[in-house]
Amino acid sequence: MRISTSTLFSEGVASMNQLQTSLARTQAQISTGRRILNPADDPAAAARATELNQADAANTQFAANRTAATNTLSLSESILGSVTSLLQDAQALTVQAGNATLNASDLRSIAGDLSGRLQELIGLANSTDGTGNFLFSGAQGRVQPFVETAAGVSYQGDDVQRLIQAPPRARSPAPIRVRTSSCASRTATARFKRRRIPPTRAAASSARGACWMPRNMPPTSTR
Amino acid sequence: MGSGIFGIGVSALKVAQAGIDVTAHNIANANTPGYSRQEIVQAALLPQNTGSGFFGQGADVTAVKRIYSEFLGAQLTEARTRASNLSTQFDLATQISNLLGDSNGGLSTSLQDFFSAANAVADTPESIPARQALLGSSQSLGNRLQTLDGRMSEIRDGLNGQISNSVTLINSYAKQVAALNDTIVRAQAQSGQTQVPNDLLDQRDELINQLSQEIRVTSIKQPDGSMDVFIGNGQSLVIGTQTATLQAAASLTDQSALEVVYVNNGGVSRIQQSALQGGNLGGFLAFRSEVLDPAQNALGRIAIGIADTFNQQHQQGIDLNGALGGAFFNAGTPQVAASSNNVGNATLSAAIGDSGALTGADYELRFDGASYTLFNAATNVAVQSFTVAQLATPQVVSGTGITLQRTAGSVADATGDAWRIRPTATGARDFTLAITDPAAIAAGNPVRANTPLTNLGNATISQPQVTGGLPLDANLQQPITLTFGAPPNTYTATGTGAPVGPQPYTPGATITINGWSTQISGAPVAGDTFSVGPNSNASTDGGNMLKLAQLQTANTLANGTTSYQGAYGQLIAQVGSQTRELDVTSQAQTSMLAQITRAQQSESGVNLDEEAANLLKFQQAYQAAAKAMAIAQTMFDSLLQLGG
Repeated sequence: MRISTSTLFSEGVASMNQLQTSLARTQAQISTGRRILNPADDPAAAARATELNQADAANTQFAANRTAATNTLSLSESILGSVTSLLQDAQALTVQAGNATLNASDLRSIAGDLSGRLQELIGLANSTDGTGNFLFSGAQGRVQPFVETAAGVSYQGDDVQRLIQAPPRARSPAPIRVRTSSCASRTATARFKRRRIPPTRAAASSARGACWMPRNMPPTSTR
Repeated sequence: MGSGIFGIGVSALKVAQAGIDVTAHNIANANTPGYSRQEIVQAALLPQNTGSGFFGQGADVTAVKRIYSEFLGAQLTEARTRASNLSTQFDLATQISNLLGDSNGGLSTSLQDFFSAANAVADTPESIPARQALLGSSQSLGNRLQTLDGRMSEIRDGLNGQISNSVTLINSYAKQVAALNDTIVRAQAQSGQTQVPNDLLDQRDELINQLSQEIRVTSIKQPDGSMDVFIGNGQSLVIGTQTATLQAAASLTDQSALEVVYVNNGGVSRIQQSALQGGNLGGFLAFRSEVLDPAQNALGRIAIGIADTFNQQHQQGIDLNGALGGAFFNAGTPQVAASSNNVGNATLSAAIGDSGALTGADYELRFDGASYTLFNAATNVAVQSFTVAQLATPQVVSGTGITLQRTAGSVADATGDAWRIRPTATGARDFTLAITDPAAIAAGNPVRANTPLTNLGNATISQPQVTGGLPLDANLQQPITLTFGAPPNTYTATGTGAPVGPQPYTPGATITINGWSTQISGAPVAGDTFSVGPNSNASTDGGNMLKLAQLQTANTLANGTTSYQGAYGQLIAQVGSQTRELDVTSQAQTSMLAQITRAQQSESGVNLDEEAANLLKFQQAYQAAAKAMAIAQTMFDSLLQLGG
């Protein structure tokens, strides 16, 4: 076959160009650390990569959501811990008050102690989360949930639970909601409130809101 | 005899000299594009009849011919038109593919940031900084969409310039071909149609090759030596010495897009753009209609989908001030353009009916004299027909997600009147944030349920959710009290919008009143009540924001089959595979072009070694001829000496 002189040159140049293109591509892959520099390199994988990126970002976000919930829950837990020890104190005082040898002045002193505990308890129940939002007031973070009234203490919050978006279960594709923070703690607080300061039926019904309470425990204290 | 030797010697000298001339010409043009090597056609002169036989009279050059194969030439032209077409499309598609797939510049990162910010608001709904961050990331999502769309529009504008340039080149080539036709016809006529001007033919073939790099042409050689050139569906570009011209003119229904129109003898005619194939120009047009438009529409569809679904959910919540949410994003609206050839002046308006059903296609509504039919602009398939009366009210076009309405003008529509509808073309461009006040983000649920402490039963009520959709029920936030009767197998709802009379109670069943739904389960006691009312002071309720955040993975687009990110992934995959296909076919075509070029060059190209050998060959022939003449001289001298 004849070879024209210009073909000799142009084919040599074309081969060099091709090799240089491959070289540049490999260098770009090395410097970016990515196999797919352009979706055209592998369209299906590129689309999949964007989905995985989103899943990754969503998981990071879910972790942040969980951290926020964990923070609120540990705060609630430490407050509930304080409430427990406070209750034990109050119980001890009550037992002490049952001693028949105590005179009026002793009893007055114990009553003073007990009412101090009550104030402390109301203080704990009105705890805030550090940004000024009440922990146990449901949706109304700026409304003080427990207010002392002549008839005892009334609850000003509501039944709304604070929810976050958390990751789906390992095999479930869709995100599910989980209950967090204030629900369990508010339940415990409410139970305590109802045991220690039994409001009258009228007082309770006049309260603007009511704390969510477990329905499997009939509110015997109101009877 | 003596004069015979001289005559033969002279003819041999002339032939050898012609050979050296042509060889030198080949060497000089070894690198001239389109040049075909030439050689002399040498033949023996008529022999002289003598009694003792025919004596040769020397040699003569009958022609100078170029070594050229019509077949390979045509293959080369076709290979060039394909190769330039594919590489043009590939280069352009790579830009779109890079734009969308860039891990930093694409839409994905902005979408993720946006939903992260939405989650942060759901975690801490009362936090103004979190809300401000959501507004900020919404703004950057809008900016990102606009940037992507803007870049595509830039590419579209650039295409207009390139189409104009290409059209100018085509016209210029056509004129040069016509001029060469003229010269070639004259030259051939001068030679009495016996010889051809090889170099001019090479120039014309090269011009047609260059022309075919711009657009696919068909060329037909005429007996007088001229070449006729046709484009598209047989429109003549060059006939003999006459040329038609192409022009770049704004599309009838889209002022921003240039189309190619055909001008012949002063008459302007529109030609079907899809008929202009091959070459750069065909590449520009194909890229615009097959890659750029669909990509921009798909991006617009995602933008409109995000805006519409997010807005719908946002309007079902309440903001920090307790007011119901408004629109969160402004979305683009369908673009409708009447053809500039329309006789009537009716106005057509289009609106988005169902953002989830949008397709990303463009449509054309055409009037056939009796009814209006909507066609898919890309496939030319009829979608739906309407009567005049139907179009007077908004008509839902099934399968497209849009509604159409026509307002009659003062001049009646004529057959052939058309309107182009681009539902999502500007979706990404017009995607903006509608609110600026962080407190106006509707993160909370509009209603909440409360259980009084006085209830004696263990029935519980779930928090009511808005299920009535938009428009919201007018009584949505009206206080409703549910009171259980005796025995507690019925309940009575009181309040505005409540159903009249006792309702049967089924534990766990959904109770829907005023556009919200809730469930009561457990065993109530007669007289137990539940109240549902406005979610006032709900600064820490992120119920609605949770639903907004869940839109990230909800299948809301393409008839509920894919999420925002999924739709974007589809767009990337679509553009990516188009680019990939162009890459592969373009590479294949380039190597095919190389093969054909090699074959054509092996036939017509100049090999300098060969020419050097030819030089020596003709030089020796020249020297030998000169020697023959020297011998004749010596013979003549000897003869003269005999006489002296």
